[in-house]
Amino acid sequence: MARRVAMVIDMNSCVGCMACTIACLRENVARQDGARVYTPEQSVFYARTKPVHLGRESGLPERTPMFIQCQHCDNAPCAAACPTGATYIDGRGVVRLDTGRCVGCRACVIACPYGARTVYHGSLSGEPPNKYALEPGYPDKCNFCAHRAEEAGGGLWVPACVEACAFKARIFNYIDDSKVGELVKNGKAVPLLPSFGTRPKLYYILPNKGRG
Amino acid sequence: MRLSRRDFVKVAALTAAALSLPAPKLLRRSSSAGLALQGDSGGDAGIKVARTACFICGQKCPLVVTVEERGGRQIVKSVKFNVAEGSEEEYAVCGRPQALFEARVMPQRVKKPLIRVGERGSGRFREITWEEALNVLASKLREYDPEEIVVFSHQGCEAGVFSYFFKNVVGTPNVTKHCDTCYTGIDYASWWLFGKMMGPGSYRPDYINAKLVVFMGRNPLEGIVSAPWTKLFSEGRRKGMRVIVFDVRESRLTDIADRYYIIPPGTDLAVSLALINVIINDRLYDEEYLRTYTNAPMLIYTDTMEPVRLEDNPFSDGKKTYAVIDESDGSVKLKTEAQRPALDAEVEVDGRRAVTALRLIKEYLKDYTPAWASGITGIPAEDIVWLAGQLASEAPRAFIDTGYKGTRYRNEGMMFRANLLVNALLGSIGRKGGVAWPRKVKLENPLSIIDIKAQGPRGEPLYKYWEERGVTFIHKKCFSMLAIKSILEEKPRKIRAAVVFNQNLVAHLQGSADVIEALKKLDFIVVIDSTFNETTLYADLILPVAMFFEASSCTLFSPSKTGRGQVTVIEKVLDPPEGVDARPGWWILKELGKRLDPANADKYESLADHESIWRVQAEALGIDFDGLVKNGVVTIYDEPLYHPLKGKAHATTTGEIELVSVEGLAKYRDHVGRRSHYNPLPTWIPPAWMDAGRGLADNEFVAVDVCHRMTATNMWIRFTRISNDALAWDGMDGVLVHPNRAERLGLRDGDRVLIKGPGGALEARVRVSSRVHPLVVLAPHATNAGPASAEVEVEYIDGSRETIRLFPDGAGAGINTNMLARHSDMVLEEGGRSMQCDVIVRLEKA
Repeated sequence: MARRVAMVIDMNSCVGCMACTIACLRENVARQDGARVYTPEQSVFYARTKPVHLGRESGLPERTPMFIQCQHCDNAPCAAACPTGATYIDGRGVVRLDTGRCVGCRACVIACPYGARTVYHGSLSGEPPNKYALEPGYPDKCNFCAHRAEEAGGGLWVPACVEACAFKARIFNYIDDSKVGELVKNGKAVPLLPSFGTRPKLYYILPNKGRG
Repeated sequence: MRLSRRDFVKVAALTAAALSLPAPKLLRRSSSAGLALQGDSGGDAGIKVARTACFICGQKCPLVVTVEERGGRQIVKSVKFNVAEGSEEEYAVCGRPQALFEARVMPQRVKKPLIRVGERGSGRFREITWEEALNVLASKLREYDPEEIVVFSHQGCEAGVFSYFFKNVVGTPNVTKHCDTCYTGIDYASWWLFGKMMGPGSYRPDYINAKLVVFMGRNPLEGIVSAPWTKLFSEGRRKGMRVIVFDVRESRLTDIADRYYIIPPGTDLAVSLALINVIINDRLYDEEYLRTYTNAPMLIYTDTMEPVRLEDNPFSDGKKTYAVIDESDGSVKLKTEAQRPALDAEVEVDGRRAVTALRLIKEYLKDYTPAWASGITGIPAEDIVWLAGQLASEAPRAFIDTGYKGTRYRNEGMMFRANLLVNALLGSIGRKGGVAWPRKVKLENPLSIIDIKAQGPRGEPLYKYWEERGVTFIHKKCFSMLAIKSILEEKPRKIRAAVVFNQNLVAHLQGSADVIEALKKLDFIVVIDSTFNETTLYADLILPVAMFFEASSCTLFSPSKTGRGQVTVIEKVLDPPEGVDARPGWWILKELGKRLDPANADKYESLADHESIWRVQAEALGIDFDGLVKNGVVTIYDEPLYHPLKGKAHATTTGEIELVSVEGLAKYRDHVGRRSHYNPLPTWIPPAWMDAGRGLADNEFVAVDVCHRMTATNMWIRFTRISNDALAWDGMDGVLVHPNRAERLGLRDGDRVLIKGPGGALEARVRVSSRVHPLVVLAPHATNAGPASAEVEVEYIDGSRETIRLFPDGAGAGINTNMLARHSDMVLEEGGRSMQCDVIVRLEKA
């Protein structure tokens, strides 16, 4: 059985440079044909990981930084809501989308409490950058760069956002027996909305600002 | 306010609500051609891995880029930072070079050599061959006297090669970079304490070992020339470094700061002066450090502001020692003979009152109290007292950052000077966790290696003329503002030609309209650049230069701002895209050299043999050449230099860190008591926008530009779709106006607004935001091309025509403060530098 993976984003180490977001756009969204690059309008919205800030109304300190992306839930509401099995969890615990089975009902978009799925309704020329890249009309989401997992031949791989981060803000590894597992176990890294019972495998180390 | 993790996770629902749900749509599968892309080993597919460095800003961070080549196409697969072994905590690369996959193919690229066919500024050009273009340029360079030519050289690892070529082959004495519109306020500040002009690259803030750092006028997270410092910052934070920020806006830096203050523009100096006041009065300074490494104990007569005595220092060649009060017996003697020089003391010498340098500062700054600073900045006085205490309690691992940009406000040089003084009082200069010194590496110039002799320029540089007329602190390599003044005023002579290499004068020099007037006065302008920009519009000849990733370089590169002496290889990563006939900078010089100096034609040909040049450069430094080429980067030192006197002596008269400059007193003692840049004692100089002596009217603002994490000053990245999308994502795709001010003017988010300054006007988009100080109107720099709107028409040899727009979104929606100001607003006392954010503008609905 494949070992399950997870990611931790350390919001103290993250400097907000957007390298992860732009690398994700290149890896999973933008289409290069050697002479032109095709991206959706407002391309950052369609990156599979994107920086956001939370307002005071959230109950957190003003402008708490975080990322919107798939949380790779073990108990994924999007997968539960999918009537065709197009959204499913693979053997490594990665929540995936099979566009061949997707009928575009948007149930997954509505079901996701993290707002992690986006649908691009325009058209894109050129070839997709990989076999699981964004396709217009489908409820796109992060798959931890699943194509790289295949290229790695079953071993651990490095998602594009992790590769691009020079500040060690993103850690990707097996959830057991690794730094990721240790951070989760000792409570330094926490999931979003655990009370929903979704059991995400994306964790955040919270900003520790405010020490004066 | 501290929140539980449970509170934290509740926010996701809010975030989800913020993302709009797309409407249902009938699905169609797009082309499946991409499915075959991965793992397809057929055809001529191949993977190329190249090592280079990012030249989007001045830091030149090492990169490893992976490119897939198949069917004649090149696809960027990954862009990773490259780190020398053992330097993992010190180097990084930001998000900007991730955009290079788009940059190479953006429509704003100059595709062919072009010659102007319309009026200057009309943006109409015609393609000519490289042969014709080089012949035209060579003939023009021969036609003018070298003194009549100005070379403006900026970005590119080969800027030093350009400089050498034009000084020694063409012979012009007028080769200037642009730091007088960037950082020379810091050079000025450094002179007072260290005896020579030293820019920001001369300091290496040691965040990684620091306990507390205060930021004024610097954002190491979004500024340019910052990625390694961002990395140090990030590692420092990880180790518990506290951060306190003073700024005119909230940003990522304030988001993660432990405490921050949003203050009126250009008022940081008041905080610094008040900090000095508290540190001295409350005796929070490091006494032993001041005694050992500074001239704090130096006795100065209060009537004439002269040192009581200066004698040759028997222990330090060429340096002076001075009279102090020896606390062990109360007598006045030379410091070299005293057991314990007094710091805060006074004495009568020959019937005249003399005080120590520290006492002099204390007395001079007695009115700069926290309450006084509070009145200017709005910061509670008790917070300034608290901050002084915090800095002292963490010293020497605490300091005010040494900054990078130093040409925004009239008083910015004085602010950095006051900040350095705070750091000296804390004893953090040259200490671990304080302000350390970088390790610099000197590489031999490739033209010298191929035996092109350094004959030196012919004639006097322009800056000499201005120096003789009282302009002080001129940076000898950075006098672009004064060069424009020379062109406009035809002093000391008429300037006939300009060579502009990867430099955007119109956008980057203060007073764009005046710069345009200057360009129009020239007989000939050649611009060597990768993309069209505001300056190419005025060129007679445009030569398309390859982007940094499209050519290997004729030289190794060593950024000057690192703690470990980094040396980098610049390999070619990608070809210029089809239809773009851009040539490397070194190739252009090689061809010019053959035309201007035919006797050395063979030598110029050897400029193409990069590996041989790199080997000479590397071996001179004792670097393992094969290892360097294999890894792309090496570092030479284990750590930065930690020593208050840089291991020897400073360039000051005494060799010490001078709290009161001996040379400064000799030259400028008559400025004591005046609001003057030359005042040997730190003094309050208000920012220029305060000159009116009144508050701003409802429609008046101070125009401020900033760096954004996905833009860089005047570089092509601001033209990319991705950069523009990132600005929009951040709500920075316009000018930020505080809600209270917007309401008074009846402005709503998204409105178009006319910004009128003394030197010009811009139309921009309003973004109403509580993230800025109410006094400012603010946007990322150079996100507005101005009234020219910058459209270019090109006619190619094959008869085709092309119209190119600089910004996808018209002329841009943000700001360029240079276009709003006058060139004459420069600060002559600090080398004729700019003060680009110290301009009052008026806003009205467009």
